Formats: sequence, structure tokens, C-alpha cells
Amino acid sequence: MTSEEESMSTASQLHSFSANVKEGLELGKKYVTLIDQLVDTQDNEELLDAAAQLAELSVDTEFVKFQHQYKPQDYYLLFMGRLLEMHDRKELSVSFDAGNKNLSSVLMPILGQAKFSFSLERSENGGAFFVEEITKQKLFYINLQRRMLRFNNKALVNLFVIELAQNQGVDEEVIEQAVYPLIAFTHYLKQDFGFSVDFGILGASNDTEYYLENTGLQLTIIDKLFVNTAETDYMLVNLSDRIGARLQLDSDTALELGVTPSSSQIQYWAFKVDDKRQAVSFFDLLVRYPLIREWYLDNRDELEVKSDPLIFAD
Amino acid sequence: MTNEVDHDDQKSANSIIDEQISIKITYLQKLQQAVADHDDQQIFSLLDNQRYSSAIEHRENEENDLGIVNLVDNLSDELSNYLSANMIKFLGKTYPFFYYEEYQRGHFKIYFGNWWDRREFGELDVLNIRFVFNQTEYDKLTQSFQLAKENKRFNSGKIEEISKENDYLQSLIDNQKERENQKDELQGQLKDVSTRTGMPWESGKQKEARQDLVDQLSQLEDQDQQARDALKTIKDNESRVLALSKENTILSYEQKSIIDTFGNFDDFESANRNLYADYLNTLSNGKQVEDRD
Repeated sequence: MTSEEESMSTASQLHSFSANVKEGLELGKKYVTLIDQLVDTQDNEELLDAAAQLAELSVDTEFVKFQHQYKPQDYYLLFMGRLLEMHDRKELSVSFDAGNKNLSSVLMPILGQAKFSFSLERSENGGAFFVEEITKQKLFYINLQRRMLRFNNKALVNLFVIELAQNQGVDEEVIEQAVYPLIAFTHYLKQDFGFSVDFGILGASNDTEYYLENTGLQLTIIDKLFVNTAETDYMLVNLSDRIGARLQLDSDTALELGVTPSSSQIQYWAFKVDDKRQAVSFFDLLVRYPLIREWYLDNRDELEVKSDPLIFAD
Repeated sequence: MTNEVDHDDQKSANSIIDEQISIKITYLQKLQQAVADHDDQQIFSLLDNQRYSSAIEHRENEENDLGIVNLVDNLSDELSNYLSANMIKFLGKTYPFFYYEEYQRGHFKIYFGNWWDRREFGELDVLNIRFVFNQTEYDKLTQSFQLAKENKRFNSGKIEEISKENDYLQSLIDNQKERENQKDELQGQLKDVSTRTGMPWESGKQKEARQDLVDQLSQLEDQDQQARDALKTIKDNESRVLALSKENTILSYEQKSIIDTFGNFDDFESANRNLYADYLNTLSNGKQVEDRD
């Protein structure tokens, strides 16, 4: 090897090294640009784009490693906080949790009673769950690439109805204020980005059918509610057009539980909530009416409302 | 003699036939017209003149002409269907808690209430303007009203009894461990008694003590057996209590409906007795049911 050849090869090695470092730096530059975009943009699509890219980006290369980084799940929380903030909602407060080096958040109405963060879905589907950290309840699943969100009804009941309302005695108004930002966030995703969303038991439209997990409900379960109404001002009446019952709660609000029309031999049962303003959800009834809440919790194995089975199987 | 025709008799037979046919024709024409006019009151008076004149016109001893009222017997289902429309409108206001299902033309089942698992309560006899209540169901309601005076409910006694049984069974389950200890102790004592060789004059006493221990043990074993079956019995009892409570609830809604509408059970029963006259008087007051309010 001549000295000329030798210096050539050293130069190409250095070039290759510098190219690799440049690539790593470029990635780092892209990373911080995306972070700025996530924090500063006033544009919806730019916000979603930044969050979606950051959640997928691995910024470290062999040649350039960054010692301080946020975790992929943190970008979901930052995205959620920013989207709410852009709609002038300030109930979700995000902060750095020095303990587990995660971003964490609280919902202001239940400050001190629950802490929320995201946790990544490890399967190839991607996406993340919005989790309450103390009770580990996964309240909803979100996927930024596929633009979808699904609420988990079982977790909503476990956290808000059992843990907060029943065990910690949180007032029904406070519970409703606490879930409101979650509903609003989901609504913005649908309205601003065309997300496919399932509000689950938080859905307030009168058309919403809250399907039961089990088919073929035993009528004695409805008998139990009927017997419990005897001591109240509410009456459980027969549905006139199908198998099922209707509980008239006040002049404007009624809960129905009936077999949904279908050609199948199997009886599919679903709850429905009827109110003129279409502002009351099944969740609201569980929180507001002890009669319904106690009956639902006492017979939960039979009455549990289904969530998207592809995501919340257990 | 038999072939000889008596002309006078013949003539009178002719006139009888003529007269009777005219009566029948007139009757049928009146009925036809009344149906055309939806004059329900007139139809009822034609169908049962005797009852009508006594109850509405207060003229007694008007007997029904059996030769004509039977003419439309084969139309009773259609007439019942036809007359039910106004009657059920009327009943909807006077008995707002009854619901009717025409399960075959002219035949109506009565349901008490629109609440969950309401009871089938009998039938509506449209042509006779009366309720034919299911006697068993009616008796339950009657009893409920009597019990209510003593602040009791129809099935409360039974429910209390079953609940006591469940409490007892639950205690059997809960006391399993205690029983085990007791059994161990008794078995120890039994061993002592058996191995002890006493004086001959003590043998009677010894036998007695032994028998006593054996009895106690078998009593505890009986309880063990009961405890093993208890979970299922408790479950069965719970569904019996649910069924009984449901019946209590239904009866309380029925009582409440009657009190809301009639004030008390006696007035409800007296309204049922006077239903024929009340309904036809409503029609004869010249006001159609639709106009009432």
C-alpha cells in the first residue's frame, strides 16, 4: 500500500464517520424540531404529526446517543394536554414525575385522587393506553397512526364508580367534571382529525346502544331491579315493542334494557338512555342513581357493558 | 184425519210465521241500522233487552224474546270486536291501569298495569260489559288490601321465614371450624370412656355416657351434611325470596293504582258491579266517549 493509498483510505474512513455522525445529528435536529413543533404549533395537523412521529422515532444511532430523552408514551400525554389547551380546556395538568422519570398528569377536579399517564401497547398494532397509575385501570386506547380511540367501560366503572365515587366518596358532580375533559378530548379527535371513536358508556346520544358482554340475559336480573324500585319513586315498565324493561327516572330521562332487534337466534341485550337533550350517558346514570349503580354492581357478571373486544380482551 | 188440513189452523200458522218473521226482520234491521250508525247503546239494548230496560230504564219484567236474541249468536265475536272500540276507550279513562290484548277476535285478555312482569288478570266480557277476573289473582289482591290494614304485605311472612332459614344455614357454614374442634374433643372423650375399665356397678352409667357422646357426634355430623348442602339451598332460597318479593312489588303497584283511581278497594268493587249501567249511561248521556273529559 502506498502512502497515497493509505491517506485515501483514512480520508474515506473519516468521511464515513462524519457522515454517520451527521446522520445522527440530523436525527437529533429533527427530534428537537418535532419537540418544538409539538409544544409550539397552533395548527391541529402539525400537532398530530409531531406527536405521531415522536412516538415512533428512535433518535439514538450507533454514533450519536442522546442522554436526555422523553419516553415515547410521554408524547401521547403532551399531545393530549396540548389539544385540550388549544380548545381552552385546562383540566389536564401535565408534569414531570421525578420518581419514575415519566411525564404524568392529573385531572384538576380529582387532583390528588388519581394520576394518569400513557403506557405503550407492545403488540405490532402500536398505540397506547391512557392509564390511571394507582389503580392501573386502562381507561382508553389511542392509536395516532390509525386515528382511533376506544374507551374501556370496565375500567371506567372500576375507577370512577367504584374507586372514586364509592370508596373515596367523591361527589357525583366532581366525577362528571373529571370525565368531561376525556369526553372533550375524544370529541376533538373526531371533529378536528376525523378519528374513529367509541365513547363507550360515556356516549350520550340517544341512539347509543351499550351492548352487554353476555348474551341471553336471565330475566330474574331485571326482577331484582323491579323489586328495588318498590321503595323508590321510579317505576320499571315493560317495553311495548320488544323484550325488555324501561325505568322512567324523571320526566325527561329513562333507562332501557332490552333485546336488540336481530334475525339471530341469540338474544343480544343492550342498555339505552333516553333524554331530550341527549346529554345523559349510561355512565352518568351509574354515577347519579344509587338504585342503578347498586343493581349494576351487584349483578356485574351478567350486566357488564362490552368494550371493543379486539382491544380490551381479558 | 191426519191428512186433513184444518184451514183455520193453517191460516193462523201462516200469520204466526209472517208475524214472527216480521219481528225478526225488524229486529235485524234495527240492529243493522244501529251498527251502521255506531249506536252502541242501541246495540246493547237489542242484544239484551231485559238487562238493559232494568238497569237503564228501570223497567222490570221485560223478558228477552229468545226467538230473536239468538239470531246473532254466531256473530258474537264480531259484535264483541265492534263494540270493544268505544268501551276500551271508556275503560281507559275509568280504569287507567288495565290493558287489553285481543288474543282472538272479540276476546280480550286483561293485564293489570304496564310495569315489569305485570299480571294477566282475566278477561273483558264486552257483550255483557263486565270483567271476568282470574279468581286466584283477584284473591291475592283482595288479601293484600286486607293485610295492608295491618301494615303487612302478601308474602312478607314467607320471606321472613326463608330469610331465617338462610341465616341458620349461613351460620352452619361459618361454624364449620368450631364443629371440627367439638368433634375432636368428643371423639377424645369417647375414647376415654371406652378404654376406662370401671367398677361393674358403673357399667350402666358408662354406657349412658357413651351413648350421650355418640348422640352429640351424630348431631354434629348431621349439621356437617346440612352445611354441605347449604350453599345450594341458600341460592335456591334466594331465588324464592326474589320471586316472592316480585309478587309483593306487583301487588303493591296494583294496590297503589286502585287507590289512586278509586280511593279504596270497596269503591273499586262497587264500580265493577255498576259497570254495565255506568257505561251505558255514559253512552246515553248523548256524549260519545271521545267527548268525555
